Amino acid sequence: MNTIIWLINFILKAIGINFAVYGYYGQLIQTVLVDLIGALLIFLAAAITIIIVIYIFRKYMADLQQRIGPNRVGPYGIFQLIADALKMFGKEDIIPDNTDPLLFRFAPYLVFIPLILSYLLIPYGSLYHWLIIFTNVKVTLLLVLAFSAMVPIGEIIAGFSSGSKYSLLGGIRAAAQDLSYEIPMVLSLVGVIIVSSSLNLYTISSNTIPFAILEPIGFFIFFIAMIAKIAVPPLDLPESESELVSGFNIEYSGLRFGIFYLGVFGNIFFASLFISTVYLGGGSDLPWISGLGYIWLLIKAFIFMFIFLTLWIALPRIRVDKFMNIGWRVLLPLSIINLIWSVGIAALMSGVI
Amino acid sequence: MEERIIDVNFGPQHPSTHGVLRVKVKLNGETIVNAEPIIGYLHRNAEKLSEDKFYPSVAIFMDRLDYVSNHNMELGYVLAVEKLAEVQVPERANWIRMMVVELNRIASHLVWAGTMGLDLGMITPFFYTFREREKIIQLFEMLSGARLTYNYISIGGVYKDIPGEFKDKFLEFYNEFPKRLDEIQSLFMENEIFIQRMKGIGYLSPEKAMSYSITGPVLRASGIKYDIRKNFPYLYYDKVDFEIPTAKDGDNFSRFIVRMEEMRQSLKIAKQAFDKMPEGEYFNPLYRKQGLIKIKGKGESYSRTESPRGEFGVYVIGDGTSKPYRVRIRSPAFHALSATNEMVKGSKIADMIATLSTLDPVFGEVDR
Amino acid sequence: MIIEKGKNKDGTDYILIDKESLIDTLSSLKRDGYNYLVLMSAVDYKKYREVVYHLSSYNENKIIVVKVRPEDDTLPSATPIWDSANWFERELYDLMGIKFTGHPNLKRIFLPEGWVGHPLRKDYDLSKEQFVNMNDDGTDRVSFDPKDGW
Repeated sequence: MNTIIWLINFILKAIGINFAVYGYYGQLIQTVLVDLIGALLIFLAAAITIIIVIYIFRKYMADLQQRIGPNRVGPYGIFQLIADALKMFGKEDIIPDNTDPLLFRFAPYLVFIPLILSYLLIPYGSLYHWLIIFTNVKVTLLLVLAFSAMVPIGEIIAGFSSGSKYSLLGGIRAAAQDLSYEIPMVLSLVGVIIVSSSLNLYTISSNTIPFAILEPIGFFIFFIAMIAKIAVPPLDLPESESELVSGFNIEYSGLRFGIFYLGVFGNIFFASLFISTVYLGGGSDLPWISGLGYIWLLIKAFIFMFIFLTLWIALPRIRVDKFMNIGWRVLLPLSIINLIWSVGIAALMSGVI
Repeated sequence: MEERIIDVNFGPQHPSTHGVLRVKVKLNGETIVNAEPIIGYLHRNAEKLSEDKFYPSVAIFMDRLDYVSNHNMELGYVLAVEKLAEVQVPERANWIRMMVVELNRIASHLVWAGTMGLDLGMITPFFYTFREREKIIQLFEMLSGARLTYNYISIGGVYKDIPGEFKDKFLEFYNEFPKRLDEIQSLFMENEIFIQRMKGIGYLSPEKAMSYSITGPVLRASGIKYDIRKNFPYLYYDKVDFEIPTAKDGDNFSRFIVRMEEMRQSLKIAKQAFDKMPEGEYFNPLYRKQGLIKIKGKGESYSRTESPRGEFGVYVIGDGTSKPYRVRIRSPAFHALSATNEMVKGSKIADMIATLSTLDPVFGEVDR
Repeated sequence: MIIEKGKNKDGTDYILIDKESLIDTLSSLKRDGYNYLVLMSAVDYKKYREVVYHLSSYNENKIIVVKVRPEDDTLPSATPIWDSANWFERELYDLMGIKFTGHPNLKRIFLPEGWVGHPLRKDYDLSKEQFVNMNDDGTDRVSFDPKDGW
C-alpha cells in the first residue's frame, strides 16, 4: 500500500470525510478524491521546489559573481520569488497579431504539464518506514521519457506560432537540438534497461551497484544529454539570449512567460532527480543508511543541480552546429558502444559467460 | 532542396548590438548570406552642434561621443584646438593627461571584455571586469568629480590638480590590477568553448583592414604594427617605454589577445606618467579666467590620437572668432563596423555576434 | 592639376586640386605610399564647398591633405581606391549633400531616407523641426507636421 495514499485516506477519515461506507460508488468517489488531493499535493510540492531552486540559483549566482543577490523582500530575500510571481500574475498577457492564437496559448502548458507529471513518476525512496512513491507502474521509465519528449515539442510550437523570426529560429534550434540529444539519451538508457531488465524506475534505482559505476560511458552521455534537455548554457540554443534575443519565448509575456521561466528551473531540478535516480541509485540497501533514501536522493539531486547551475554561470554558449556535431558524431557512436558494453555486463551478471 | 532566404533585422533593439546597431541579415538557415549594418539611431550631429559653441564648451560634446573612454575623446579635441589657437600647455598637465587617458583605455577595454562575455553567453566575467572598472572610475571621480562625463582635460591643461589621496589609491590599483587582469583573462582563456567560438572566426585580412581604414586593436590583430602613439607621437609618448602588441591571425581571438595585452601596456604607461610627472602648474594661467572667449584661432588643424578603438581624429577649422567654424570627427569604430560584411559573410549567426563584439563599437561615437 | 600648395596650421602640407584630376591624384598618392585614407570631410564655406581628404600611411610617418572644390556638388567616387570611402562618401552625401558619381550605394547613412536638407550646410534651416515615422512597409516617412511628433 502506498504510504502517501494511505496517509491522505487516514487524514480524510480523521476529519470525518469518508464516502467509502456508501457502497461501491462511494468507494469510487473516495478514491478519486484521494487521488485528486495527492495530485494537488505533488503539484504544490513541485511548484515550491521550483521556487526554492530559483532562489538558490539566484543566491548562488550572485555569490559567484560577487554580488549580493535578492535581499530586500523578507529575511535574506527569501520572499523575492513570491513577489516576482505576484508581479508576473499582474502583468498583461499580450498576444501579438501575427501569432496563431490557439497554439500560442497552448504551448506553455505543453511545456509545463508534462514536467509536473514527470515529477510524479520519480521514486523518491524511503523516509524511515514511509516509502515516498506516487506512481509505481511497471513502465515508469518509459513514461518519463515520453513526458520529457513532449517538452521540446511545446517549445517548437511556441517558436512557430509566435510569428516572429527570432522565435522561428529558436523553434528550429529547439527541434535540431532535441533530435541531437534525444537519440543518444534513449540509447544510453537502453543500456540501463538491459542490465537491470526492468522498465520500472524503482527497480532500476534499487540496483545494488549504481549504474554510474557499471556504465560510465552511458552516464557521461546521459549527463551531456541532460544539459541539452534542460537547455541552460552552454547548451541553451533554443533560447540563446544574445543571439535570438529570447528565442522561442520572445513574444510571451505575463503568466505565460512565467510558466516558461518556471519550466526552465523545474527542468533543472527534474533532470537532477532523474539522473540521480537512474545512475546513482542503490545506496539505500546499505545498513548504516537504511531508511534515509529520500534524503540521499535529495543530496544527490542537489549536487547535480549545483553542477548544472555552475555550468550555466561559468560557460559561454556553444555554437549550434558544433553541438549537433557532438550529438551525432560523438554521442551517438559512444551510445552504441555503451549498448554493447551493457550487453556484456548483463551477460556477466546473469552468469552466461 | 529549395533554399529559403529569410531577412532578419538584428537590432536596433537587440541585447548584443552594444547600443543601437541594426544589422540587416539575409539568412539561409543559420548561415549568413549578407549582412548590412545600418547605423544612425544615436545620431545627434555633434559636428553641427559644435559650430554654435565656444571652443571650450565643445568639449562636452566630445565627452558624449565615446561614453566609455571619455578622456580619450576630450584629448583628441583639446589637442586639435591647442594646435589651432597656439595654446601652451604646462608640462605637468600633459603628463596628467597621459595618465588619465591610459587609465581610461584600461576602463574601456574592461567594459569591452565584459560585454563580449555577455555576447557569448558568459554572464560572470562581466561582473569581474566591472569591479575593476569601478576602481578606475573612482580614481577619475577623485580627479574630476564626475563618474562618466568628466570634462577634465580642458584647453590649456587639466581642470584640477591631482588630489593628495590619489597617490595611494593609484598605487594600490597599480599593484592589484595585474593579478586581477590575469584572473579575468584566465576566465576566458581556460575555457575551451570560448576558444572554439573565437579562433578562426571573423577573419579580416590585413589588406582589407587597410583598405577599410581600420585602426586600433582590430588592425593590430591583423598583423599590422600601427599605433598613433608610436607612429605619430603626441603628448610625451616618445618619452615612455611601452610595446605595441600585435597578433597575426586577424580573427576574433587575436583581437581578444591584443586588447588584453594592451591593458597591461596601458598600465605601464600610466605608471611611468605618474612617476615622471614634475611639480608645477597644471593649467595655463593665461586661460584660467574668461577662457571661454579668449581661445581663438584661424586656420585648420587635425589632431590624431589613439583612442581605445583606434585613431580618433578631430579636424577643427577656425575663422578667427571664438567659435569653431567646422568640427569634423573621425570615429574609429565607424570604419571597423563598415567592414562587418567582409568578416561575417558565410558564417553562422552566433559567429556574427561574436565578431561584432570584438569590433567593440560604441554608438555614441559611431553615430556622432 | 594642383591649384594651390601650402601648410596648414598644424604643420601638415596640403594641396588644392581640381575636380578632374582628383581620382588620378588619389591613386598616384596611394602608389606613393599614402595607403591610408584617414578622413574625408566636407566644409561649407558659403561661397563654395570643399571636400578634404586626409591621407596617411600605415608604414611611414607622413600625412598629406588633399582639397578639392566641387562646383556643382558632385565628385567622382573614391570607392574603387579605398573601401572606406564607401561610408565616408555616404556620410558626406547625408550631411553635406555632396553627390559622388560611381558610388555603389549612395544612400543616407545617419538620417532617415526622405529627410529634407543636409544639416551640415551653413544654410540649413534649424528652426524647422522634422518628424520621422515609419510606414507600414518599414520605410521612413518624414514630415514637418507637429502632429506626427511623439
